[in-house]
Amino acid sequence: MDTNIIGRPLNRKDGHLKVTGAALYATDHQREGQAYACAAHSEIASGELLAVDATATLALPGVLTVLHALDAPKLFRCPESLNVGERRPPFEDNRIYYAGQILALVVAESFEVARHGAQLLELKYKEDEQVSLDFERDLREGKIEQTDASSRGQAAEAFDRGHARIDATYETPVGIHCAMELHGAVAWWEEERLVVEDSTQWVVGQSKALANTFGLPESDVEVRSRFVGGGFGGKLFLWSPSILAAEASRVVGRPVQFSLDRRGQFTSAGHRPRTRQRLRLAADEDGHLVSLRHEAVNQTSQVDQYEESCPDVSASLYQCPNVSISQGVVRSHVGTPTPMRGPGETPGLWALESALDELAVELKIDPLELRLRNVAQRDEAKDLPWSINLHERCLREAAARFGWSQRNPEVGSMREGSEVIGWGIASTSWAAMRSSATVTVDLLQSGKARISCATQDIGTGTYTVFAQMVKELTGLPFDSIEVRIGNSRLPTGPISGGSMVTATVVPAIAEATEKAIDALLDLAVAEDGPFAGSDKKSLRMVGGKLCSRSGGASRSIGEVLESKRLSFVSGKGEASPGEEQERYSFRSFGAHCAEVRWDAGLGRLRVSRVTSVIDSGRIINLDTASNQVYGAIVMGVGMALLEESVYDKRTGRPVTDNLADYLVPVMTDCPEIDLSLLNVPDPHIGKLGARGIGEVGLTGVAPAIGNAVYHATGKRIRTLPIRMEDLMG
Amino acid sequence: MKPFHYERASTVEEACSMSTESEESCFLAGGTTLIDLLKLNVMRPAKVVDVRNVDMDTVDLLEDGGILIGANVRNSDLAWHQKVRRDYQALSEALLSGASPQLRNMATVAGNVMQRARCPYFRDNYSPCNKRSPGSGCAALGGYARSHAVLGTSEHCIATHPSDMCVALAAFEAKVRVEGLAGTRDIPFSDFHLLPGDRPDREHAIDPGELITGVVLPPNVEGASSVYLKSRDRASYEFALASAAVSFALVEGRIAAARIALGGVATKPWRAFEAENCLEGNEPSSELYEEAAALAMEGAITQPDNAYKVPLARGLIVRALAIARERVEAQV
Repeated sequence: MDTNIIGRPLNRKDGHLKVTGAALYATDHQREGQAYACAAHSEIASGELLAVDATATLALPGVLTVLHALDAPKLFRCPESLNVGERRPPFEDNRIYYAGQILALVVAESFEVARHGAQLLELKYKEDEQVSLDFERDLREGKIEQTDASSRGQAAEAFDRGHARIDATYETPVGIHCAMELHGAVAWWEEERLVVEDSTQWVVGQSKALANTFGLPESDVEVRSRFVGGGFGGKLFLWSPSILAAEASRVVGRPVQFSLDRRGQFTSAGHRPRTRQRLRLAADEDGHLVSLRHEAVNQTSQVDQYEESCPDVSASLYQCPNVSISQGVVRSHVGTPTPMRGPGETPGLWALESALDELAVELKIDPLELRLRNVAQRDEAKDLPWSINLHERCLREAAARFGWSQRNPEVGSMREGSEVIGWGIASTSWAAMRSSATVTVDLLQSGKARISCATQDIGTGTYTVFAQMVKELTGLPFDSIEVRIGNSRLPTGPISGGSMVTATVVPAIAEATEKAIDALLDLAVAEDGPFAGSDKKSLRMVGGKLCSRSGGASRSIGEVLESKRLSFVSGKGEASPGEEQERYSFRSFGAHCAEVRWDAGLGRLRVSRVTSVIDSGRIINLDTASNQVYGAIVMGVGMALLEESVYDKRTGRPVTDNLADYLVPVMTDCPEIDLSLLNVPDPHIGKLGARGIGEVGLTGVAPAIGNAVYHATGKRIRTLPIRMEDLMG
Repeated sequence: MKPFHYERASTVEEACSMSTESEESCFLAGGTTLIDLLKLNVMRPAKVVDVRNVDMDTVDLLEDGGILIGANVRNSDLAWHQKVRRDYQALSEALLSGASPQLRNMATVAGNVMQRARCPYFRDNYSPCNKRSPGSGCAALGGYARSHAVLGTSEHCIATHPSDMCVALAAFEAKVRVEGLAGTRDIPFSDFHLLPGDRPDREHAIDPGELITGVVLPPNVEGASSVYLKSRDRASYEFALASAAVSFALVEGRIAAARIALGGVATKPWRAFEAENCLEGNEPSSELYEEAAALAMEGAITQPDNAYKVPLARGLIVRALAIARERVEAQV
C-alpha cells in the first residue's frame, strides 16, 4: 500500500463550505411552510405545574398552537438498552424536576412571535418545600447511592504501612459543553415518515430513539446531520429539541424548527456533573505506589442516574498492588448530566494527578520521576497486557521538549518581573475503544468513488479522514471522492464519541475499498473486459486506474464499468471489536507540561505555555489530529481556570447561564502550545493501528496547570476552577 | 421580545420630540446593551427612537484644549483617536479593554455611558430585582455575588456598574452634555450616575426626553500621565472584577492633580476623592500608594463571594500609580 497519503496534513474536505458559510447546519434548513417553536422553561426547581394560561399567547397574531405538560399527547420512553439524554420525554407529567425544565412550547409563524408568545405564557406552580440543591449539604447528610466499586489487594492495610501518605479531597464543578451551535432541529412528516435535520453526534442512535419516542418503525425515521457545530458529548444522545420539533410538526402539520436558546443549554441539554473525589495514596521510600483509593461522588438528576465514573482510570494508569475505587451519586434538582469530553477520566485525572503531585512533594521526589517509577507494565485492572504503552516515552519527551530539567523545585523560586512562574506536569490518558461499523465504497462510472456510512463529522475531520483512506487505497484524486455521512439511512456507523470513529471505521473503509477494487478487477479480467484473460493478481490500481504490474496501458474505472454497461461496483466493509479485546488492553497515553504566571498585584493568573506529547496510535491526518489536541488543551485551560456553571443555592437556577458569565477561554487565553504526536501504529487495534484522539488531549491538562499553580504559589487548590481569590492573601 | 414602535430621528430636536410622545421610550444607538435586554424581555419599551442618523459622530477640539466627543462616536474610533491616545491614555486603554472588537465597533460613547447592569438577577427576568422591578427585593444579596459591588451599595441593590470607559471619564472629570426640548446642560460626571439608595431603578440624572449629545473632556493637566488597569479572570472579553484609572502630574517632585477612579467594584463609576487628597502634594512612594489605596477601599461592604475585591482593587491602585509615575517620568 502506498502510504503517501496517510499521516499527511491534508486540508479539510468541508473547509471551503464552512469558511464561506455554505455548509448548512441543522436549523439553517428552511422548508416550505416552516413554522417556529419556542419553549417556556420552569422558573422553579421542584414542584408541580398546576395551570398554563395561554390566553394572551393565543391572542397574538401568528401563534399556531401551545403545547404543554397538561395538554399534550403522551410520548413513549426509550428502552434502557438505548442511551438517551433524559429518559423522561418532555411533557410526560406535570412534575417539575429542575429549574429550566421545558414546560410548554409555543408554535408560531415566525421565531419572533413564538418567542414573544412564550414570554407571555403564565405558568402556575406549586413549589415543593423539599428541594435538593445543595451538593455539600447532601454529602454531609450522606445522601449517597453507591453505584460501583472494585478493588484488588488490601488498600487500607497497605495505606497504613505506607512511607508517605496523601489523603485529600478534590472537586470539579458543573461544566457546560458550550458548543457554538445550539441544540436544535427542523422536523417534518412525509405521510407517516419522520425526517429531522438535526445536530447530533450519533445519527443512528438519534433515529432509533425518535422511533421509540413516537412509536414508529425505525425505517420510518430519517435523521440527517451533515454538519455539527460542536458537540463535545452534549449531542451524543437524544435531547428534547429534536423530540419537540417533531411533536410540534405532527400537531401543526407543517415543518417546525425548534432550538434551545443559550440559556436553555445550561439547564436542558446535559452537562458534566459536579464531582467530589477523595484520594488516598501511599508510597514506599522509593516512590512506588503501595496503596491507591479513589472514592468519587457525582451529582445526578431526579430523573436519571448518571455516573461520571471518575475513578476507573485510577485502577489502570499506574502500577499499584492495592487499589480500591468506588463511585456514588447524589440526586439533586438539576437537569440530567451527560458525557462531556473525556467523561469520568477528565475529572478523575484532576484528582489523581493532583494527588500524585502532592505525594511527590511529600516524598521530595521530582513529580516527573515519581510518574516514571510507577508506569504500569500491564493493565492491572483488566489483568491484561497492554496492546502498546508508550506512557514513559511520552513523559520523557514532554519533559525534554519543555525544559523540565531547568525547573527549580522550590515553590515560588522562578520569577520574571512582577510575575511568579510555576511549572507542572501531569499524565493524560484515555481508554481506546472500538465499536462496529458497516461501510460501502462504490467506484463509479464517472471515475469517482463514493463512500457511505451512517456516522457524522462533528467538526473533527471525519469527512477528510475517510476520503484520505479511499485516496490512499485507490489513488483517486481527493476531489473525486464523495463522502456520504450524516444520515441515519446509510449503512450503520458509529457514534462520534469516546474517540472511536477513526479506530472503528478505518478498518471497515479499508475492507470496503479493497472489495470494490476486487469487484472492478473481476470485471476487468472477465470476458469482454479490458484485461480479459489476465490474472487479477497481475493488475493493480494506481492513480484511480487499473494497470498491469508489468506496465502497459491503463484503464479507467469508467472504461472497465462500460464494458459491462454498469454504473458502479460496490464493496462492503464491516468492522467490529474482535478477540483482540480479550487478549490486550487498549489505552492512549500522554503527558502535559504547563507553565503558569501569577501576578499577585493584578490578580492575574495565566497559562503561558503547554507542551504535550501524546501517543494515540497511527495518525491519519496530522492537521485534523493536531487540531483536536490544540482544542483540547484550550478546553483544559478553561476547565482549570475559568469554567463553572453556578447555581443559586436558594432556587436551583443557573446564575452564569450565558457566554459572558460562563467563561470559556478566548484567543488571548490560549497558551503557546508545543505538541508532538508520536504516530506509532497500535499493533493490535485493527488495520493501520489508529486509535482515536478526541479525549486524550484533554484529560490531564487541568492537573498539569493546577500543579504548576502550586509550584508558583505554594497554594494547593483542590477545587476547580482555580481563581484569583484562591491565590490572594 | 415585546413588539415596539420604531422611529428614526435625523436631528436632536426630532429625537427629543419623538421620545417625549411616549412615556416608555428609549433611544437606540449601537444597540449592544439595548437589543440584548429587549430580547431577554428585561427592557420593554413601547417606542424605540433610533438616533444613529443624528449628526453627532465627531471628536472636536475645544478652545480650552479639551475635547467634545460626539454621542455617536464608536468606542473603537475614540480609542484610536490621536488626541485621546496622547492626552487621555487611560481612556484609550479603558475602551480597548472593554468587550470585543466587534462590540467596540458598534458601541457608542453615549450608549456606553448609559450601559446597564450585568447583574445576573437583573437580567434573568424572574428573580427579585429592585432595579428591574422596584420593590421586589434584591436576589444578589445572599445569592451569587462574586462580580458584585463593594462600594456605593445599598440594602436594595449591589449591582456593579459594568463600564470601563466611564471609569476613565470619571477620572478625567468629564461632563455629559444632554439636550432636551428645554435646552442644553452639562452634567458633571460624578453627578450623572446615581447611587442605588432605595431607588436602584433610577440610574441617571437625565430627564425623560433628554438625549445625550456628547461628552466634554476638560484639558488634561500639563505633564500628567494616566493609566487604566483592569483585572478579570480571562485575558479579554470580560467585565472588570476590579479596575483603576489613575492620573497625576509631578510638580517639583510632588504629586499634583491626582485622580483615581475605580471600576468593577462600585455601583457607579467611582471617584476615590480621599485617596486623591492623600496623594496631593506628597512625594510619590510605594508607602504612599498603599495608604491611598487603603483609603480608596475604606468603607467597602463585602459579600461572602466578593471580599477578594478589596485587596484586588488596592493592588490595582498601587500598581496603576506606579505605572503612572513611570509614564510621568518618561515624559520629561
